Amino acid sequence: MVIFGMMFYLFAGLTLLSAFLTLIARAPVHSALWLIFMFLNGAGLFVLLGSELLAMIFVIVYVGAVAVLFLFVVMMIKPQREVLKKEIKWYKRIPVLIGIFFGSEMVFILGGWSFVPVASTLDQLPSRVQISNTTAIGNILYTHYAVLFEIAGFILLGAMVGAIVLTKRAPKERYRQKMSDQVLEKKKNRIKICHVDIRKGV
Amino acid sequence: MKNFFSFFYQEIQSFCGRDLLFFGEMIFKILMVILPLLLGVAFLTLFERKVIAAIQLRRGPNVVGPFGILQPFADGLKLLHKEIIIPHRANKFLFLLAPIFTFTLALSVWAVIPFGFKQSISNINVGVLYVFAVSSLSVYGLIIAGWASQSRYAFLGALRSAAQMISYEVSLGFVIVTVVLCAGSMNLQEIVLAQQKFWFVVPLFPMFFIFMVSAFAETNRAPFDLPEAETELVSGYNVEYSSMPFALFFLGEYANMILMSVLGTIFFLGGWLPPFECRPFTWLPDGAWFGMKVLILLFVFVWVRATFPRYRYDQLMRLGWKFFLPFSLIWVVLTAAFVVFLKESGSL
Amino acid sequence: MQTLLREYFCLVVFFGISLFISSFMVLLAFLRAKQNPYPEKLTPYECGFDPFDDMSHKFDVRFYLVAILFIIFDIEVAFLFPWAISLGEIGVFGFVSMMVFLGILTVGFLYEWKKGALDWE
Repeated sequence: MVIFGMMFYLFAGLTLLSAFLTLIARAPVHSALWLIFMFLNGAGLFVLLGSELLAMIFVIVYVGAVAVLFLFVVMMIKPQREVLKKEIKWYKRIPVLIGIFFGSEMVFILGGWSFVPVASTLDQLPSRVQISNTTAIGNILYTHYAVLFEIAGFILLGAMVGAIVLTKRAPKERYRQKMSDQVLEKKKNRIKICHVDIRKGV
Repeated sequence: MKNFFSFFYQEIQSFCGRDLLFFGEMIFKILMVILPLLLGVAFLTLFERKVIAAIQLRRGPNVVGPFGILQPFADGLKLLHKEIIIPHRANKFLFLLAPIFTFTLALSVWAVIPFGFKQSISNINVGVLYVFAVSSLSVYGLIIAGWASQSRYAFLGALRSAAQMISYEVSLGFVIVTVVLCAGSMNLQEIVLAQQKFWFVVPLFPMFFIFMVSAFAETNRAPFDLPEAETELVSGYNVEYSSMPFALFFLGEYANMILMSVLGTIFFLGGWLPPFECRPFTWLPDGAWFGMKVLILLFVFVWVRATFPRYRYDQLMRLGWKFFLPFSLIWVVLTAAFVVFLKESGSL
Repeated sequence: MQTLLREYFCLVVFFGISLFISSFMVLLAFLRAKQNPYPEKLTPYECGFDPFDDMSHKFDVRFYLVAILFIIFDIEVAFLFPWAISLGEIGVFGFVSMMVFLGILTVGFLYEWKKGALDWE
């Protein structure tokens, strides 16, 4: 299947290229856009593996939600150069540390990695039984891996609470529309019909 | 070299099943979807103006051609000959990319839409997710447009419409989940075929309502057209655009409107299925039923625009987060409980 | 597998054609329309005078909050989709495990509501 092979190299090459451009782009917004392009290519790779569900979820969650937040942040925060210059010296060490950590991890993994003997006889897809990729994931995720699934729920809960705590504003008196009050308002509380005699006023 | 080409040809042959003709046929089919769609979008603008005119007791466009039927083409030609203005501080590439991206996305969703039994360009298993994914991508067109034009009105408009779209996408997602629960599949064909006994609008009517309202908000249509609130934001994210790039945003919005009507038809109104599987109803072809239902929903879009006043932003957010989100989540739970109950009691 | 990839290949071709059509339309306008730019015409739209400063100003933190909450609920929806497909297979146990998940997130949702994170005044 030459075409699908070519597709693989196309997507893989574009993924690597856009990852590289994410790193070297000068404007943060451009970086974020290259990152989005990388996610899309990653979704293409998932499709080539035959896992449609993961490809679509990848697009929906990473591109449609996470990257939107990135773009919001990157677009709306105006970098203050003077403050940044002071802080950046310190921050520069962190990526180096992380890089060393992941680099050594890669060395360990690649050094000790080999195929499981039966790997070549396995099929990544449950395509032999007539069952779609999505159903296959759904059948085990909520039963066999139920505990991990609930842990994911707790992580999301933590994220939600954390976001609210971080963005909490001082409670102040707000003008809020109370729709129930508006709807429940009676005519007699608001309108008074009175007879006004001529030349006397109310 | 010749060897290489013959090898390549064989590969293409084996890929296509039979022949290179497959490619030609595929491209022909794709054009047979896209070109009528473009025409439909053009006439939808006329349809909208005519209907709103009728509601407001006016006559609408009636000069160009009989009954003004050539008005969309006149508009298109006019826009084509306008100057493309790119603000000097704008990022030129992204400025032009944003409308192209928006319109490309608006068109490419149509690849999975079934117009009749086994009549879709690409019949993938996760069609629903594809539609959902592409519609969640369409936020980018707005954000990039607002940012690239480096204008304050445009940026604020883009920000607002992005926040609005993502807020309503959540409840839209829950609504789609209820439909998937009832159909037991994410393939759009199978969702339609699951409605042979009864349309999903019958058991899921509140969801249909939420779907339509969220569709108004997703397409930035009245009464949720805050991004283009002309009294304060002077048309929002696309202030700086002129000529064809502007037209692409405009056409993209209308194509999305048709798409939302089509999705409403597929999810709730039984797609191409006639209302009853008996004699007088089955005389009409599938496509006619499909088109009729879509037209009715499009009419609702226009009708709502002509009837309702615009929402305020806090009201819009409250409706999305505090009413639609919990309500549709509760419906997901109820529907799932019902499905499990039916399965367990063995009647399904 | 092959049929699956073939369907996706159609999708890619469809995307390519629609990309071609939309960029062609912009190109056509570039070819047909008369371009006559001058500096005054190219200023950003702002009440007839030059904008005071850069537009990336302070924006309300609520936009970030909405985006974060959207991510969380989007993941929730993403978990719901495969569950909806295979609910018939996994039966009551799958139903209960999803209810626990939704319950956990509903706690967060109620917290949010109480803290007024969903209010826009």
